[in-house]
Amino acid sequence: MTQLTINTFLNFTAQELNVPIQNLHEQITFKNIPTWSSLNALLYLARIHNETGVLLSSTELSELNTLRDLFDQIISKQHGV
Amino acid sequence: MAFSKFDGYAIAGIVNVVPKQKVFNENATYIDPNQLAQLIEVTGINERRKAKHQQIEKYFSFGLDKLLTQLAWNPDSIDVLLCVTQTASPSIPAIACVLQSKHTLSTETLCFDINLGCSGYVYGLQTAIALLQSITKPNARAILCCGDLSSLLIAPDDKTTQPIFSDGISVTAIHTTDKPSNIFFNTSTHGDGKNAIFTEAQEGNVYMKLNGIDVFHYSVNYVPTQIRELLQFAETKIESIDAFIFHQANKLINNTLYKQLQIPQEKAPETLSLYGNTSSASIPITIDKFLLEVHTEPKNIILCGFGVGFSIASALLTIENNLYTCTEEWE
Repeated sequence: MTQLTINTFLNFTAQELNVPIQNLHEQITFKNIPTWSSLNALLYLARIHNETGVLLSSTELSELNTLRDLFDQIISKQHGV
Repeated sequence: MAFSKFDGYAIAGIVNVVPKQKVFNENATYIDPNQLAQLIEVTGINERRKAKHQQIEKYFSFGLDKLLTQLAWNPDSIDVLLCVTQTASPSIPAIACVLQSKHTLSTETLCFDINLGCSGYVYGLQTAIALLQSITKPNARAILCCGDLSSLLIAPDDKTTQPIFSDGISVTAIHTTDKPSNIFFNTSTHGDGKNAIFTEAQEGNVYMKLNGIDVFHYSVNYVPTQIRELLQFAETKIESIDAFIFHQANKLINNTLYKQLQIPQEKAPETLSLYGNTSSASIPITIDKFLLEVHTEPKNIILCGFGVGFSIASALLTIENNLYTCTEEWE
């Protein structure tokens, strides 16, 4: 798996959640994105797994708020923390 | 991981039973129309089955009758009868006891129910074979009934469970054999995943709840490792496996598992599009489809059930192409 950058992460978040990239930034609370739903969340996490090899549980997700939090969690798990 | 190995036992026949009544996800009014097509694409499920009767025992009984007739097995010759289900209605007495009397099996038949869902077929196979091995009588025989009428546990407007689960059961006969017949099992339980699929009381009813993210998480985290360890235990290369018959959870999960294990699509038969997720019956239903499509023998197959618990069980075995299997529609 390649090292994820914040820009790549925001790009595939925009694609997966079907929102314009210009509407996304690191400090957005991802659960408040209008297209966030249980189905889209599952697809989004599947995409994260596909792109990064990182699996996130619902408990982990519930403890995160912003896209930056999510990005940091992925990076930290990629490094085995 | 718990490994076990048996020799001298084989599946003698399988009868699957699915209700005639079809329900189509494309007609679902409880899902946002803008998400419907995406949901069908992601799950791989449009068509599901809904039982007319609420007693799963009736479906087991129908399948058992057909299987015993087809194999010309005298009911009195059955030594073990197991029923794997989570939708027994009523839950007391055990369905296995009800079937023992109804089908005039010997009063010496070892009968009990097992409370497991999607991993239940493989756990049931292992339990049945282990029990047969413990019986001193020659040519011992076992019957494994499994499956669920999941529609009994699903709230009418539940967007996560309703489009996935489908009613269906299976009855499998297991016997001793003189042919080389090593069967390898690998089983594991991750009880910290108990909230992935569970039931809870809601306005006087008990409904099943599904946390799709956790089902994905536990499946993808643990199933590939279990399959690799099973292959290592059986000293078998993945290339020599003719088919990977996995529990039919949903297309997203199954395809992710196949990708993780580098299993080509042609070695991963699917029945999601025909019957949806039929819980512990999905593996034997898919075995039937696989044998209909493949006409050379014998076949090395891997079975893998995973789900509610979070419980995972896999098996590596050889099946003959002339094995009797069918999938019948009934009420």
